[in-house]
Amino acid sequence: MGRRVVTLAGAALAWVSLAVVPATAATDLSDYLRDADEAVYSGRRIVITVWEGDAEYALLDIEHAMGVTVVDRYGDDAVVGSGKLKASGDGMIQFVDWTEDALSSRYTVGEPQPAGHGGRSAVAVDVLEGGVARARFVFDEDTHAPLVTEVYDGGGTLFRYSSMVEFAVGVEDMPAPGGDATPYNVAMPLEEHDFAAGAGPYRLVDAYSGSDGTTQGFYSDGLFSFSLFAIEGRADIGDMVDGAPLEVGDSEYTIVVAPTELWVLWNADGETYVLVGDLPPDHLAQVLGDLPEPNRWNWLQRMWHSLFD
Amino acid sequence: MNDERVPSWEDVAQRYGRRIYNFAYRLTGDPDDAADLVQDVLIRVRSGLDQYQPGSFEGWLWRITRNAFLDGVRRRQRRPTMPLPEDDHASLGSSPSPDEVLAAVRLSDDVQAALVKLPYDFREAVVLCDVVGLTYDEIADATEVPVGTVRSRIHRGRKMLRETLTWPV
Amino acid sequence: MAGLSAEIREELLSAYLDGELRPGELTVVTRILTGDDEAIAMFRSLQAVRRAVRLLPELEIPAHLLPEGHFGDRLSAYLDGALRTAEMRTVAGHLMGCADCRSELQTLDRARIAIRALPGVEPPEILELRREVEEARRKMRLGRVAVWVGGVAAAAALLFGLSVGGREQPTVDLADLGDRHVARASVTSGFQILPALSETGKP
Repeated sequence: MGRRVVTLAGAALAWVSLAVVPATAATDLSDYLRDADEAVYSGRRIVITVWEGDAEYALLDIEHAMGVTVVDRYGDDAVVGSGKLKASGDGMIQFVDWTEDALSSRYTVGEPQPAGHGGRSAVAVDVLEGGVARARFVFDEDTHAPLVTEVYDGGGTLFRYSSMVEFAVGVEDMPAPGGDATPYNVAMPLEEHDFAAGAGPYRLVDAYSGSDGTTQGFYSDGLFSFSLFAIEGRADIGDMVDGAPLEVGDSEYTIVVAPTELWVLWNADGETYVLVGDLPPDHLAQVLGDLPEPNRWNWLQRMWHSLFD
Repeated sequence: MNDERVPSWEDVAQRYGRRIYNFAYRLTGDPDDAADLVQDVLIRVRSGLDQYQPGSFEGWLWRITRNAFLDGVRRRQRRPTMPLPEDDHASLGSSPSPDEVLAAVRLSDDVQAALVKLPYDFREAVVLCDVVGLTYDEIADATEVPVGTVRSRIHRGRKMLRETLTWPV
Repeated sequence: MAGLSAEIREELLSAYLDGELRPGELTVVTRILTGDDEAIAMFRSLQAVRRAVRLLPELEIPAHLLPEGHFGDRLSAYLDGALRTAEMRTVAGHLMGCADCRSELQTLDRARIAIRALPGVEPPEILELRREVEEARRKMRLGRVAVWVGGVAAAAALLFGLSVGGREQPTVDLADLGDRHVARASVTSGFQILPALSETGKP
């Protein structure tokens, strides 16, 4: 991604879903997603994110069985599922306590429609927001494995596209859960914290502290989610990441677009904030508007900083 | 493409289809003729693959393509050579300046129209060099003429294009 | 090479543009172009013409000409996210059933990796290098940062020589933050699971 200034409309758009969420359709989606988690399949997935005419893609080798996924991306392995993640060579991260969340009433879920993908019978479920298409799930008819996921930005343009390009029922090789004695990095729930209870259309679901002294606020709207990390101290973000400037209203952030999620980094007061999540760009603009504003140091701060460099 | 491994005709279609199509299109300016040629070539490749002797695959392929093209032209009873354009500006003394040439080359349609006006041998040589991207040796192999002839045809083709593009008929 | 006819000398200019000069001919070309305005003008015209033909747009081959509706060069546009949604779906679905196109996708992927890689690296080290590049991008460590204590009083305290103390900041691994998000998001609670994110492991 080049250093281009990308401006998002700062005005918060109030998405009010006037339609009553048909209970059956929403339940259907929930059921499909639960089945998807339990399905057993393997294959190759491509994920493409399109942002301002640029695209980032990744090809992932996937094995999924009963809530656990093994992802091989260009030789790097990670095992994810049920609140745990272990990447090759690292200790395991584990969440033991969390709050359930529900789909925001902003969304309307359509009735499942017959579809096809790669020669397999499938079922497509559309999710609308304010009457405009926001996401589409395509589940394999037999196993309910997720074959395709599409996410659109506020204008209905494709934002992220994820699809199996190779698919087989069953898995060959799954690692035993928690096999070797790997150190656990358990995320502790935080009772007291400074995270805003809501940001844009998202609400704070849980807050955690990490062993490195960072705090994590997990926000969700039931469909998309992001984590906001607060790290004490200011950082020279431009030196750290190869991102692009992002302007929202009068504020400037740094954004990195990865195939599977967005990263936004900024300094505010004495903290460094890192936001990472799969939310679409128009939601991001609304969210950032409700989070601590980035600020530049004034002359006194700069002097102070230079004294301690 | 690895010369030792004989590709399947699907491989050929995938990897060369576009270039064959562009070759035919630039030679004729006609998308239907180009499409016909691609299909023709693929059929010939398909039936010829079992007789193919490992060697220069691309040379073999382009020879097939040329032959298919010329056969197609004969079938359509169209003369492969175009008459030379009226040479009002034949004398070398009044050669167009490069700026004039560049100024005239605004639309690819103009270039395409100028190409089609070239005598067939010149046109084919220029297309194989500048559209398909073959080397002189590869062109010599495909057209079965010496490299010196290739060189001469390309040069004379370009000179004629230069004239046509600056003073369109 | 006094014996060369004017025509043959001129041909050398075209051959020179195509990088097809034989040994010894470069000297001739240099001599032709030195001080001869007409020759130089001819050279530049040939250059312009050659460029004009080379810049002709490369046309897409109509899909029906490819065996069994393969997507050939459209795969590149697919990776660029440049296809319309309906086409994205068709291509993705086709890929599931077509080993040829999948292998083509793989080739394209490697070629793109190669383009982004450092010069002078040959495949098959490309995948190793890609991993290193990804690692470098992901392990964006926040280094020691100055502590902004805040408030004029603190500044005043410093001026009076009182120690405020620069706390040693632990380095924070951004890749680790990403993992923590993905781990939390992977919790099963109905709508939380989006295949695009939950199964990515590292960002």
